[in-house]
Amino acid sequence: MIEQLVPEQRQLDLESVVASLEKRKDVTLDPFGEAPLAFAAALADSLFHDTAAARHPELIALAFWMRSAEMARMKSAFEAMQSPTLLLAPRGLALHFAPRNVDTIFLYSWLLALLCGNRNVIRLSRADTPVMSLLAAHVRQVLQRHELEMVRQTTWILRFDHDDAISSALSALADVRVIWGGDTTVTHLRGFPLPPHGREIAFPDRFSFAALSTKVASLDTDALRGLAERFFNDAYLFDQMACASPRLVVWLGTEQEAQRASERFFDQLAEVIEAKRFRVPTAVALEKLTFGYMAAAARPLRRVRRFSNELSVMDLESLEDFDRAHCGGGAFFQARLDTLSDLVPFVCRKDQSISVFGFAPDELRAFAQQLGGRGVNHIVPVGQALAFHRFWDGADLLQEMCQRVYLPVGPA
Amino acid sequence: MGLAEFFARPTFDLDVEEKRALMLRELNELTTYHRDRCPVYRRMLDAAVPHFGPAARLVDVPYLPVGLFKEVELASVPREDVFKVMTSSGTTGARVSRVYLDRETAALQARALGRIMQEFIGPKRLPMIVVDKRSTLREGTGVSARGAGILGMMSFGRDHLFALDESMRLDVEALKAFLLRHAGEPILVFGFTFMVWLYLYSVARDQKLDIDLQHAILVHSGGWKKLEDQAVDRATFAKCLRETLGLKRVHNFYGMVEQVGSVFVEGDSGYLHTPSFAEVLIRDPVTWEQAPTGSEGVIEVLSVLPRSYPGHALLTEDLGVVHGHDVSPCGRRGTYFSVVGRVPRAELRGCSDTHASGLP
Repeated sequence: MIEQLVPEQRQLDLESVVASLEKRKDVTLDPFGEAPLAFAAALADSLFHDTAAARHPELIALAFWMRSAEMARMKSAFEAMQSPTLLLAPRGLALHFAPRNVDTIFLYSWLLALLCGNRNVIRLSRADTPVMSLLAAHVRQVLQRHELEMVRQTTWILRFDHDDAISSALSALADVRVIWGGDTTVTHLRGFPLPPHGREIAFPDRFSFAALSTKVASLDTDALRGLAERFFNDAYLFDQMACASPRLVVWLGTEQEAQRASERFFDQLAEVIEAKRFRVPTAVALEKLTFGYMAAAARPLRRVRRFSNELSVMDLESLEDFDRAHCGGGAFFQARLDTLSDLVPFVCRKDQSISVFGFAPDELRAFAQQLGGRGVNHIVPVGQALAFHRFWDGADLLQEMCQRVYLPVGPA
Repeated sequence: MGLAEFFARPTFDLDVEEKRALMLRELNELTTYHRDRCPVYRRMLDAAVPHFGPAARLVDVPYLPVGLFKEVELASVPREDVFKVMTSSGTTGARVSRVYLDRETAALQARALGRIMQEFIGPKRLPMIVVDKRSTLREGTGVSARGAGILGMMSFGRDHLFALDESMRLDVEALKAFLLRHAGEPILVFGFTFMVWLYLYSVARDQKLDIDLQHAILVHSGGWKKLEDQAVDRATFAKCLRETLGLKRVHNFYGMVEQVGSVFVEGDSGYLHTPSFAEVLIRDPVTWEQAPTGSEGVIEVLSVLPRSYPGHALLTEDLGVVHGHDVSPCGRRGTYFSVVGRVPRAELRGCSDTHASGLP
């Protein structure tokens, strides 16, 4: 049994869903046309005006990202990708698998797919959260508008238990499949073939960290506080469990500078946490305690420092053989290297984001080039790690959601 | 290190200050002892307690979280000296705790349990009913917590009857024959709390069986969690068992496979008691300092018995309250407390595997 949340709430069987998808199989919307843009604007508006939605920072972030200025920018970028000899067309049906417990991340890939004119089927995990209920209600409401009829007819948000038959049937109809969340899920869903022309974008297990210059040691109080607050946003939203959440802090500089920087930085971070009255549940505190001991058991750790239930720092002797184990909830490994280049051998395929502070743009560019694609596809200032962008996890999602039609046919 | 002093005294009759001093001395020696013999423990201590030295108070004795036993092998004796590996009962697929006992520690465990049980059931072996099926003793590799619990208790009984058949059905015939055979004698009944409720009491009630346990002492353990959705708490449990089965003496106990010797039995006061060789502390879940008497917090258990592994100071995943340290309403001396329940589960958000955890 499949629970449909959008366009209306009802229970359906697989046959009905497939029939509904087949009925619309020749429908696509104009990329960045009136309908998709109107939908984005209407949903943003609807969320901004709901005080209940305001309580969820991730919904506000989403609404902000969908605001008309940003959409206009993306439309320009999209048009710039086209030329007299190159047209962009929708792929057709985009099938999205949302991750288990980040409520809102799939919205970005869904909206990008919609803006490119695709039809969309989204599979939500079984866990019904207040955020998802709220969002689904807003979407259903917005889709009632007369001018959004085409979007309404080509959007299906579903919830069903893991069912190979359903995943398989839907995959066979998808022109593009987006999988959010976990190596195991990606591997499992890859077992269900797409049609031969089908494309896939997968977001498997990721590791992210922060690379901070020891210049932090000499920041004045205001600047340090600002940095700590931005770091808090990177790390603590989504309980340090998002793919871009930093779980390791690497100081670049001398040992002495790094010690001073670390002390000032984490003391300040502890203050920021306290000022925000941010708290983790007791179970998480116990989990972090256990994890700290496990880390000490598994590798040479100089020190495990528990500032509070919300913040613990595990001082690595070195980054050698670091296995990227983590537990979330505010537990950070710490290490030091001399320069940014020294990080190159450490980076691996699993690494995604580095939040940086204290480096010149050309230094960072040189570093990125040195990496040669072996890992890390997102290098951003501290505070920007979770800001979603079309360039995500090594892909240009805008490009992935459409196909290029090449016609070097000259003027008529 | 002298354990003699702990066993020389009556199990529930140690003076508060004296016990504290004795335990502190012994626990400090144990921390050093294990630090010298268990490299993993040493690494953890060195990272977590940089200026290591003897603790001035019980609350300063370095503790380990009980969950570590599921993740790390902690032993202070070489492989060949391991006599028994205890495991916790886990749900399928979940990791289980592994606790390594040598002969000495295993013997201490048995002796400790004996001393505690004697207090409640007397010095003689009693005819015993086990509310479980016989094959529980043979489950899996190593010894499961349920099997170990039964085996441990069986040494206090004789003419053991396993009240449930292999299909978990109450063997009414055998039970009646047993009761006839031992009519008028004190009997020991042992089982896990939910087992006793579901497979003995509920059956007796529903089938209106005439089972008279007025001379029996029920010792049960396992927590109230499984009976939460049936709205059965301590008071309801005792009342129902008295009304339907005539059971007048019901003793709950709290213990864990991770700490040898820590079996805290409920006295007639309704509170759990610490024996002479174990102690309980409550920690504030925010500051992790010792919570004042009467305040709820996370239970830490201390025992002077774990010698083959560093399990002498453990932070549990249970919430509880210490009610007093000196004399409890039932006359026993020593810290007395109650267990409120498990620390509530919490889930961290993130882009996690929808498949790995087995959850949708």
